[in-house]
Amino acid sequence: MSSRYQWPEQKKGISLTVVSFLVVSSVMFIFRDQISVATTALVLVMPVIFGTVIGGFSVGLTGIVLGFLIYDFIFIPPYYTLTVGRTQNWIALGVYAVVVILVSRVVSNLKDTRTLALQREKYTRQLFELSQLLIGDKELNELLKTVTETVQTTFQFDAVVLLLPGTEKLEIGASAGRLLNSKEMRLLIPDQGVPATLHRTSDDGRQTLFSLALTAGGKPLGLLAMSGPKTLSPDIQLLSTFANHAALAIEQAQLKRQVNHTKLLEETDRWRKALLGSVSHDLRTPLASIKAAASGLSDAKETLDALQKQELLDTISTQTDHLTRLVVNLLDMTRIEAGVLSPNKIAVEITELIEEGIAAIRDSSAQIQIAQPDCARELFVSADHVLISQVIANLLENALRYSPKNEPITISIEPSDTELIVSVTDHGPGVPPELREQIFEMFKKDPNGGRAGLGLAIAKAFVTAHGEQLEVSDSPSGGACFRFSLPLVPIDGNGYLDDQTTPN
Amino acid sequence: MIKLLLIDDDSFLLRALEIGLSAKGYETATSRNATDGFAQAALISPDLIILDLGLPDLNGIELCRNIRTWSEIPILVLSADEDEAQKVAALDAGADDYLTKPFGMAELEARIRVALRHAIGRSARNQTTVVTVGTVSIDLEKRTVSNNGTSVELTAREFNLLLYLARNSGKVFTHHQILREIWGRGYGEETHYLRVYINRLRKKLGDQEGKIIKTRPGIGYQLLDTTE
Repeated sequence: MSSRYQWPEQKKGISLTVVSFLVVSSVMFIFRDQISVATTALVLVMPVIFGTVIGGFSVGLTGIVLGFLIYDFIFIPPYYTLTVGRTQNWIALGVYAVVVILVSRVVSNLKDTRTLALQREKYTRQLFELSQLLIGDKELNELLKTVTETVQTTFQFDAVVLLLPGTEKLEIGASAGRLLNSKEMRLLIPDQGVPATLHRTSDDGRQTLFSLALTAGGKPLGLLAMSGPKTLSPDIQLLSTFANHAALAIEQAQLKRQVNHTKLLEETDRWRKALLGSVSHDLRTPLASIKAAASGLSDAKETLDALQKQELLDTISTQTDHLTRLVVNLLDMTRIEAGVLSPNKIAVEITELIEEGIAAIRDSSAQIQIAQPDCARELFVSADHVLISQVIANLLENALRYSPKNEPITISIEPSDTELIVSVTDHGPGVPPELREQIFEMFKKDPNGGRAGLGLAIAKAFVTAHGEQLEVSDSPSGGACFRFSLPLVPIDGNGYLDDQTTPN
Repeated sequence: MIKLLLIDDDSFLLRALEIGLSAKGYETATSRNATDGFAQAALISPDLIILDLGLPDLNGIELCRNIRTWSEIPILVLSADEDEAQKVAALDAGADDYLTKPFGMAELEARIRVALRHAIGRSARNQTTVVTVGTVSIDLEKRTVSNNGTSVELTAREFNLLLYLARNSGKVFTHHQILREIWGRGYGEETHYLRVYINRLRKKLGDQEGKIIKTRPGIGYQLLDTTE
């Protein structure tokens, strides 16, 4: 019990007892003959109580002995001997001894209870403050970081490491303070299925390593390892309780992460199904026209006139082209998805790319204007020939789909010092701001009910592969304007490519 | 001249169908969305509607249901999806038959002929006491059935089933439609009951190959005139 009192408090208690004995004894010594033996005993109880209040029961005991001796020696006749004369005085001494012991006992119990209550309050408050840090929708990594940092600052360790089971061995989930050295790491062995308890794992003279198994629901979650100076004596109970709270919070965060992962998988699955449905639809649509036209031609050979036959043949031809582009797009998309897309950048003349893009859409009826600045020099850009002409073709195809017939599509190029902006502008309905992200998604159903298909998604992926951005905005003349930039390749004064700076 | 209304948002397919069908002697009108299609259906009162399910403004199934509120015009549904649920929904909404893209012109014309012929016979059949589809004739008053002149003994439910299919011969009925009509409300998923009864009917009619009662896999059944 005395261990609950700190050494300074005991010292203080003893000093106070001795001083107050001196004071009351001196005062009473003067009036020794006027006051009765019993009154003296009452006064001599006081120093003992003072001592007990300050220093606890052990100090009280010292006071009792001291008080007993003073009382007997100085105040009970015959004076200055330990001999007790009359029976009456014997009784007084005995009562004094008993009262003092009992009072001292009661007082010290009261004090103990109060100290304990204060300690409990402090502990609860600390635990509350610690647990408060764990509450809230923290992401797992953030939570782990909070746990280690809190343990480090609250308990003043040099190093706190939270180890989580990886695929084969424990891996560091988060750490605070310095990192544990390899020797310390080797010493950490998790105790499976053991509720969080504190182990003093090693002592290498100056540092003490602690490890604490984190478990939730009987299942080991990880290991909290802490290292601090040898003199450090953390509140083990508080640390263990906090670790248990932390374990529960970590488990919850892990479960939440799992749920999110499952959701993501479901989303991907749904997306795949939608993709498959769309591919099936998009492939069947041109096939339906081809089949209808071809079977119409063969079934009604005799009744069709030359013009009608030509029209059916044209349908077969254009729809086959459409189908081919669709298949090419699908293959491109597969390349993008497989992550094997790396642009083979060379210096290429921009009008060449545009002409190839126009040729790829094979729609002779399309009216396409090319707006370019009046500059004598040719503009070379660093681009993958195949990919960028495909981007231009896809943008033109998209523009044609939404532009009214007989309204021209404009491709314009605007060079600056280092780059060149290519834009494709149509006279269609334009793209409302809220759809400007969506239209680049694969098979995003467009608001008019048709299907945007793959074209824009591929164009975006190809431009992104060049490290550039494809953006859509409203054109001043109404309609949509798709634009992207490409780096210009410097040309020297003689019109030759400056080979040194040609990007790879 | 027989008037057909073609509703599809794919202009290339529309044009190919228009040329192919007019070459076969049909008069055709076209429409590229549901709103216009609905208006045309009312204005020109076509003999048959060919309707694509994936229209830009309204689902073809909805359009089908709308038309059925005021008209019995045969509707032939075109679908690019292999999704059976779509076809079943269209048939439940009142479509007569369906075709999956891509299809040949010969197939389309055959379906058009079946739908038209049965639609013409339908109103007549509903007036008379004897319903005849090809070799099968059903006497409503005597509740007797004969095939090729030989009488066929049927139970009450078999009789009702055959009559239901025969009254709208050529129309594709979904499992759900038949079960609800013959077995009653509360039925709809018990396709195995139906399979058993169809097999019995076929056996009794001497139609083991399913030429009179044609199975439309995954969708339902259709009673056909085998004499044509």
